[in-house]
Order: sequence, then C-alpha cells, then structure tokens
Amino acid sequence: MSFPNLKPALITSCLTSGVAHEFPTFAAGIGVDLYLIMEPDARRLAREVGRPRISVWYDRRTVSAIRFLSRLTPDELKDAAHRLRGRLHGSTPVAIASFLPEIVAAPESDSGCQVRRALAALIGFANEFRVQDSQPPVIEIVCGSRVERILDGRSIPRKQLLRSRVFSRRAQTTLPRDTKSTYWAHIMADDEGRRRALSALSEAFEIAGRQKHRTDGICFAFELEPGPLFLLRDFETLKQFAADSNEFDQIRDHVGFNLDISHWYMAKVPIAAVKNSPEIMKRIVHAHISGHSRRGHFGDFSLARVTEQERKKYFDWLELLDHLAVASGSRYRGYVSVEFEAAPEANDFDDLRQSTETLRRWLNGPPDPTLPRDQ
Amino acid sequence: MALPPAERRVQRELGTNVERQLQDFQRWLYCSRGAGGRVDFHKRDLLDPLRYSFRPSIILRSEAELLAVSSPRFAIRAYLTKHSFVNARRLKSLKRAIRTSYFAGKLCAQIVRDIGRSSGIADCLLELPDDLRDEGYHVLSVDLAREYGEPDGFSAVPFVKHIRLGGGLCAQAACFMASCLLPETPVFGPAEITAKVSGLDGPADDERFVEIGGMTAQAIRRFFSDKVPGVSASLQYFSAEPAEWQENLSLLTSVFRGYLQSGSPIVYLASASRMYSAAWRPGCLDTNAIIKTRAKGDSPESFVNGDRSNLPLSPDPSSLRKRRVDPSDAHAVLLVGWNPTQPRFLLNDPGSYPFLPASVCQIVDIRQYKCDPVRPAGASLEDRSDGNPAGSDLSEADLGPLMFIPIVEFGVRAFLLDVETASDQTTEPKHSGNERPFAMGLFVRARMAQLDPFSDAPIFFDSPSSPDDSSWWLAETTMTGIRGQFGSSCPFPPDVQSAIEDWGTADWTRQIGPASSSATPEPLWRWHQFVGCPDACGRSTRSIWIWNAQLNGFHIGRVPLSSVLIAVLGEDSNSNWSTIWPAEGHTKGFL
Repeated sequence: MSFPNLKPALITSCLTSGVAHEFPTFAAGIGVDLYLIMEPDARRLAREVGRPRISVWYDRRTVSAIRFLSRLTPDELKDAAHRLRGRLHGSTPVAIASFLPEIVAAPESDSGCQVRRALAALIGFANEFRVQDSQPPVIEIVCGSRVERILDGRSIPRKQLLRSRVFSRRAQTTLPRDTKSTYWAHIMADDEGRRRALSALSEAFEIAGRQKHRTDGICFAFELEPGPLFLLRDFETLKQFAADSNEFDQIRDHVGFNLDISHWYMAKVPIAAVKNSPEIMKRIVHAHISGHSRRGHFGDFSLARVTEQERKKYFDWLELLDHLAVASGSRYRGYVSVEFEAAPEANDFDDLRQSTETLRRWLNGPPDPTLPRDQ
Repeated sequence: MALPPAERRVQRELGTNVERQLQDFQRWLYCSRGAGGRVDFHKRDLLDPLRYSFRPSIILRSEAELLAVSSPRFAIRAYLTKHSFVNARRLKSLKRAIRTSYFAGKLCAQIVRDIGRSSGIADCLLELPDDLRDEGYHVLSVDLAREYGEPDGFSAVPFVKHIRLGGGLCAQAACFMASCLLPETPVFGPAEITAKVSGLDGPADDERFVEIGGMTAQAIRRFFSDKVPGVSASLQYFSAEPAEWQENLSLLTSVFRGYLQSGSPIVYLASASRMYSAAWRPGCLDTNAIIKTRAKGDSPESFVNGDRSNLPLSPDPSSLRKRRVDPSDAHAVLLVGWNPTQPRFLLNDPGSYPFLPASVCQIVDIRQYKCDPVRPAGASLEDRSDGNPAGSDLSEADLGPLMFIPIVEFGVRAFLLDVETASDQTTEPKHSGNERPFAMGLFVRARMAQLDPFSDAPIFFDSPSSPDDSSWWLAETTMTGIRGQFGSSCPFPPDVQSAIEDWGTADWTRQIGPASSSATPEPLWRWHQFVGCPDACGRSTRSIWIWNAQLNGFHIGRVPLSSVLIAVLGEDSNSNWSTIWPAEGHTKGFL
C-alpha cells in the first residue's frame, strides 16, 4: 500500500533549542512545520527578530506568545522570516504551529485584544514565506480552552455569585456548596467559545487587511486536542465548529482543521463519520502524525515503534488524506508532518530519524521487487 | 566553570530548591547511610549527578489544561537510576504563564503563591528500592516507560505528587496512579479526572462552575465505575468497636493482600494529620507515625538512615505555629505494595513520598474522622507537624469507619468487604457513623461460612436486582490448588465438577492476579473466583464462585474449618447464591 499523493514534513518541535541551526540534514528537502510560536522554539524566533532584549524578556519574564507577537513590527517579522528561510536547507515551510488559548478570551479583555493582534501578526508572518503567488504556510492553532477563568471560592462568597448577573442562572446552579477552600473553574458554554474564537479570527483578518497584509490563501488549521477541557475535543465539536464557521462570511474560507491522526484517534473520532461529513472533509487542510500510547496522552513517540496491528489505524487515516490531497475543491496540499513534541534533545535524533524514515516508507509503499536495485 | 547551555537552562527552569528536592528524593529512595556515617549509593546504576532531559509529561500537560495556559506542557525529566525517573515541574515557567495569562491582582498572586508551594516532583516511574525488596516487599508495577517516550521498556511503580491549588488534588493523583497500574486501562491526568467527575466529558450547552479541588469518596468510586472503561470499583467499609480493632487486624491484612495480590491497587481514605503524628491520635494501635518530620537540629541528610518514615521534607513553618489537628484533613493515598510474611504494606502518598512502609495497625490508625466531609482536600506533609494539637479533644469515638476503594479490572463485581447497597451509592455518604446500609462482603460471608459451616441459617448471596445491575457481582478469575483437593469424586453438580476439572486449562478462565509460582496453595487467604460456565454461545448461564478461603489455625472445637467455599448461582437470574460446599455430611475438603 502506498500513498502517492502525500508528502512528508517534519515539525521542528523536536529541537528544544530551536529550528534553524540544528535542523537535521536527514530532513532537508522535506516540508517543514515551524514550531516557532510555541515553547520552546519561540525563543529562537525571539532571537531571530534581531532584538536581543526581546529574547531576554521572553526567556526570563514571560512565556506569553500573544504578548510577544502582538508587539512585533511587520519589519521585524519580515526579517525573521527571511533569516529562517535561509537556514532550512531548501525545505519548504508548509505550516506554522501555534497555541494561543487566549483565542477564546473575552473580546473586551486585555488578552482578547492582544490575541487579535497576535493572530494578525501570524497572518503577516505566514505571508513572508509566500514565494510570489504560491500558497503561504498553513497556520495551525490549538482551539482554545473551555476554562473561562479561575475564581477563588474563599474570597468570593457564594451568595455574592448567586446574586451576580454575570453568570447564567443555570451556571449558578452548578456552584459548589462548599466555597471555603477551593478554586473553581468557570467553564464557558461550547457555543460561546466557538463564537469567540471565530470572532477573534475574523477581527484578526480585519487588522491584517488594515496592515496591508495579503489574506488570500491564508488558512488557519484548528487543532483538536483530546481532553474534556478543550473547545475542539471530539467529532461533535468538530462538526459544530465547521457549521459555525459558515456563519462568519469573512473567514469562512480561511478556517480549516489540522487532522492530527493521534489526537483524532485518542478522541475517538470515527473515520467513517468523517468521510461522510463533507463539511469536515473540505476543511481538512493539514495533517500531523506521531506514535502515541493507547492508554493516554503521554506524549509522542517514534512511528517506528508502531505495531503492525496499530499500523492499520494509521493507514486508514492516510488513505483518507491521500484521496483528499487530489480531491477537487480540497485545500489540503498533501503534507503529513511528523510530530515529536519536546522529544529528543538537540543531539539525539535517532527516534526522529526513524520516525521520518518510517513515514517515508509508509507513504512510498514497499519497494518494487521488479525494479533493479541501486548498486 | 560555566555550565553547558542545556544544564544552565535546567538550572534556570528548576531553581536550586527543586534541584535540591530531586537530589533528596533520589537519596531517600536509593541511598542509605552506612555504618560509618557514609552515604552508600547502593544502587549500581544510580545516576550521580542527576541526568536531565526535556520530555513530555501527562501531568504537566494536564495541569496546563486545567489552568488554561499553553505552557509549560513539557517537564524536565530527572533520571534517578537507569530505571527510575521524575518529571519535574517547571514551577517558575508555570508561575510566569499564570502571571501573563491572568489579570494581575489578588487572585493571580494567590494562585502563584499556591503553585509556588507545590512540589517540583510531578509524575515519576520508580523502581522499588533495594532495601524494601530485601525486606520482602512486593509491589504492583507496570511497564509505562515506552508510553513516556523512553527508548527501552521497564517495569516500575508510577507515583505523582499533586499540585497545590487551594487544597490539593490528592484524590486525582491517587486515581492517576491506580489507573496507571491497571494494564490496558485508559489513563487520565488530573484535569481530565476533575472534568469527568464534574460531568464535563459530554457536550456543554451552558456555562458552569467546576470545583478545582479534591474529590469525595463516592466521586472516586464513580469515576472508576462510570468513566473508566474496563474497571470496577467499590467503596468498602469496615467498622468495629474500639476494643475490636486489634482482633480484626488479621482479617484486614488478608483483605488488603487479597486485592494487591490480585493486581488491584487500593485507594485508601486517610486523615493527613494522623499520618504524621502519633501524639495527636486518639485510639492509636501503633504509636509510631507513618511519617516523621525532620527535627530542627537534624542534619540535611539525616533522612538517609534506613528509617523510611524519616522524610527529607521540612514542615511549613506557618503550620508549625498552628499546631492543630484539622478533623477535615481528608486525604487519599494508594496502597501499592505488600509483605507476604508480615502485616505490612507500602503506601504511595501523593502529598509526600512513595513506598512509605506502614503496618496494618498504622493503616487502621490513619482512617478518617467521622466528622470528615470525606473530601480529600489534599493536605500535605508541608502543612503538618508534630505537636500538641488544639484539636486533641477529638476522641476515638470521633473516628469513622475504615474506608477504601479497590480498583479492579472489569468483571470483578463483588468485593471482599462490605459495600454500600447500590441504591445508596448514588448519593453522598451521610456520615452517620456505622449506620449506612451495607451489603455484606464476600470475605465476611466466607468467614461466616467457615466459622459455622453447618449452621441451619443459609449463607446466601444476594442476587442482582436486574441483569444490568453490575454494581457488585462476582469476578471471573482463576484459582490454584482447588482441583487437587477434590479430585473427580466430589459430589457436585456436573457443571461445577466439570469447571473444577477444567480449571486452569480452559481458555475461559481468566486470571486477575499473578499466578502462584508454587504448586502448593499458599497458606493464606487468596481471592479466587470465577463466574460462568459458558454455554454453546459463550454466554454464562450459571455462575460459580469457588474461593480458597483458608484461614490459618481456625477450628470449631476439634473440627478444622473448610479450606474451600463454593457458592453457586442458579441459572435463573433471580435466584440467590447458595453455598454448596461445605455441605452438611461432607468431610472431604476439610483440613
């Protein structure tokens, strides 16, 4: 079995100390999924913008990606992109990964304002990798948390909250009785979270337009995370998100999904249902792949360790992607990025090399025995 | 000399305090003070200095999820030995993330302060220290190394210290450790556990509040029974009059061993303050505390002295000043190890340290107070100290029943000690002392049968109210040593006889615990049950429970007690369990 329409890529999160200098030679020439807006490689970006003080500030004072991004000037982004591109050994940047939980922050809050500017900066940054009229890299983004805020049950009396009109009556019925010694998480409704995320994105496109950034071809790939506190966490929420995206005319064509095979599997997303859902299928714009535990979200591991039995599960999803890569109207360009979050240290690429080679083998299929072998 | 960049970063991320915690942890676990006062690194593969690496951590990822921050989701992994590591919390990064994600103010400062009081030790995989192994302890262990991204697999004991938020998440930590220990069982981080018990695992049509804190005992049971596939759990009680605890210690030892030998970890509901002070405790069976806090004059390495109750943790000075017992300091620990020859066990305490040796007396001593809200609010060692408590007016009568939750594989539907009846398990306990409606546990029934096998009163077993009522039923597991006791002449119904003859060879028998390596049955209580002789379609039509319920040295007069108890459930699902062995007139099968 082979998947001729798929191409391997590599997420640079394998390199805890950054992307550029250590980008491994074995990965040269394949697609690159830049992990620059997320820890720890964001430090590299901070250095690349050429303002050492920002790098120090990023390291020592904060890890807030949105504050960092929202403060960068277009010239600084352009310069950073130029420097990075020169160090990728001819590889094509196919995606930029980001994780901005603040995308669901209340629009009137500081975080809500900052995240809009940060998203606009990401649009500008992606444009810097566009060669003439080619497609810019997809912008991956984890679709926010349902935790609206943390409240302190010790300082806010229950009675006061019950009188408050900030929270719905139904939410008030879920207030814990004992409010003396615990924090509470205020969990937002799913539809409110989706509305906020899509509104933030919509306004980011407006800001990007005002900043004269090109927006054609820009696509945000929202990523499902397995876990009950994430906004995009299962098949139902994927469907709802796709449906709600249609209500935002300005960004309707800029919203997509990142099919992270491990995450979708852990979240028990049924492949048959995905195939039968044109709304989801047409929005798949990028894909991730990694080995993962069957028991929980422990972390990524090498594809070389995937058992024969589990391989079928991966192949089913790869088959779906292979069809999608050549389907008419699809925005998926066929890249499947090997993910290896926080995994090997900078000098330890064995697992990463094996993982990439395994994906290559999977995509190319077994060698044809009738062809002459290279000497 | 300047440190290499990776080590500089580790030092910056961890800080000297957490580095010190890790070193102390390593020494407490795997080093001991030799006769000459020298610290012996008695593990050959001990890594000194510690080796560090950035790695994913399910616990840090989960905590970031709970606090709605994007980082830190990766831990700094410190390798203690070749087959033991700790995922260290990056507390500085987490505090920075909180400061930048939350409005500056009192709440932000408070969360940052609480996080600052948390331990740097998050999730770990630890091998049993050699001295404990030499003392004969066995532990439940699991091969999760590959799941954690290690290149080679190895078997170890999972341990996690909970983060401190308000109280703490000790119950979630205990649930996490228990899930890890059960093979093939999904593992959830503390955020997922909190969300699942709060009903957040489905669609959320409206906003709501979720408590970030401990879980009630019933919430722990419901989490395993309802939210974790492939697992059963039951809140078990044991109560006795103050004078009767002593004589029930052997029974409790057997019950704990029965579960642990069957591969089932036990979440034990404890009182945190009673764990570290004997002086405070009314009605102590053992005057030694499970945990001793370090005295002021002790040298920093005084813990490396072979006394595992001496932990390298300094009590919180503010708590020292308080010097009081908090009757609502409910806590959850996990029983993970046992000693087959002594009534001693190993506890993993998510508030302090793993592998804490405790006698069955000490385990009984640390049961919760009756007035507890049964809310493991996560008090940890740093809050407690020895001293004269203001709450010393609490008496033995204020102590509640012993409560614990064995986590067993799916299929185990009956438990050894008493359980609340199904109808009452849906509600929170009403803290009415010993007046809860109980269903008698198998162990208690078996003991009754043994003590009076020829009683006119039938020792029957309740039937389920409906086929779906699986809140407590019998398990499918296997047994050893029974077959030889009966041979082919036992006067049982044909299917029972056939089941006994097929024992251990048929595919449908399933074993929960490790097989006995010895051909002779162990002269101890073992928990051996199975359900169902499958019909042609593979369905069980008749359930049989055979239990090698052997009690050493028990006789009725000169008649020794039966070593085997056999109960059968009729084909009709409404029928009751009935004891068919021992039966009046039969002498075979007696010791």
